[in-house]
Amino acid sequence: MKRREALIGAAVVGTGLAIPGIAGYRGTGGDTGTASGASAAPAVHSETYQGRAIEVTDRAGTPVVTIDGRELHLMRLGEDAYVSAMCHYELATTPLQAARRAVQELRGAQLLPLGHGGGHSA
Amino acid sequence: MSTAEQTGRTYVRKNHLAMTAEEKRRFVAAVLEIKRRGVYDRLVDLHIRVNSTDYLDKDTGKRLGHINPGLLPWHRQYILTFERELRKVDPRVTLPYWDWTTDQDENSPLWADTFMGGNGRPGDGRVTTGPFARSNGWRLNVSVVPVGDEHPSLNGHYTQDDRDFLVRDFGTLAPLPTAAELEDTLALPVYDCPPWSYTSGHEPPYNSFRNHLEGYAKFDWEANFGKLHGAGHSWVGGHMVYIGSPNDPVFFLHHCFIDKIWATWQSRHPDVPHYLPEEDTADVPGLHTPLGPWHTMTPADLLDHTRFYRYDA
Repeated sequence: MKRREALIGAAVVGTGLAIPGIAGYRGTGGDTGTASGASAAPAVHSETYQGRAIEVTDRAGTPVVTIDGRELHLMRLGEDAYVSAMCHYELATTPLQAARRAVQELRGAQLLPLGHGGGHSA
Repeated sequence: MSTAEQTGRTYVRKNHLAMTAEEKRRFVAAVLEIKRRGVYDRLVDLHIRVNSTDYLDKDTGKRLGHINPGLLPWHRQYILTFERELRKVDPRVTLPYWDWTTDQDENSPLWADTFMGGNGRPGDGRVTTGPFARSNGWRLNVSVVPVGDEHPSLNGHYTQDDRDFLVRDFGTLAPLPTAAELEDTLALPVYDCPPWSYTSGHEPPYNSFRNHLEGYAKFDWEANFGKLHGAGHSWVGGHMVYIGSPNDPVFFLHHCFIDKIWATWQSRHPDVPHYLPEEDTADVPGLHTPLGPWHTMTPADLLDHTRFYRYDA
């Protein structure tokens, strides 16, 4: 419950960050500790953002993001630093922020399926 | 091995604003020819593969091309590889650069229909003008087709989305950098510092020219991360911010300017190491580490660009 609320809080932070100052995501994010803590938790967050279904889940300690059921290639650089295939030259502070930025960049396009998906072994 | 070494002379890379119409026509024709031959797409694929090791925790390999000191030598070799492929098609072609500190107008000759083409259209961002418009035959083949059924972190085949047309979205994500912003970074006297990553040089005395140029560090007086190299990618928008950024040919003009900035920085700071770390580390290349995937040159081999080419200014 607490974690769920933390994730939703992160979503709100993400919204504020995601819109104008894309490059400033880390500089302006005041609540990144909560957000990154939540992203590491075995929790699920679902939302509809700009008409797309975003889901953030945890796979053996690795955050996994899907958009309309298709996995976004998410790369974790550090505690509060993620890039995705759709947003490769700016750091997102949370997987959810990366997901929302990816939705913006897709402009309605579909992510490609990852074959059978699965085995994201570290 | 290189043309320059074979002939004992180097060629000149110009600001695209100084190119003649004939030079631009030849450049575009050579790009289209290596695209037709499949060479261009192999270079896009190569960049994606290096990204996959640079940005993911993997058991093997170092970071080579991004978020590490290797950014500048690795991209020097990468765009040199591109330029050599163009020169195989037309030996008179050289790679031009885009100086975005002064050349910031959407109506610049850079974006003319006879050169890079223009911005994407409203809505889906599809580029519809110039030689790299889908309707004029420029089709994206890499990162729009799934390869294999493994997760791409295992095979490096990063796919992206189902769009086979180039996307641009000028100026929505970030402004272009100013000359003053570039000067602040050029003034930094240390090439890079531990942990040799996206956090290097965040604090005074900002000991990472590389990370400030790459854009993952900023000065206290700057508002946003993502400056210089990052801002060039972000200002163009669309494919320039995706993992398959070399799908947009302006990638090479942008990185040519980044390459020139490294040369300028070296001339401003002649007495400091022009690459660090000197010793190999587990995560990043040292001065004498052969850079993959070519394993033909080390950062030391790549320090002096005048071995290969010169800049016009």
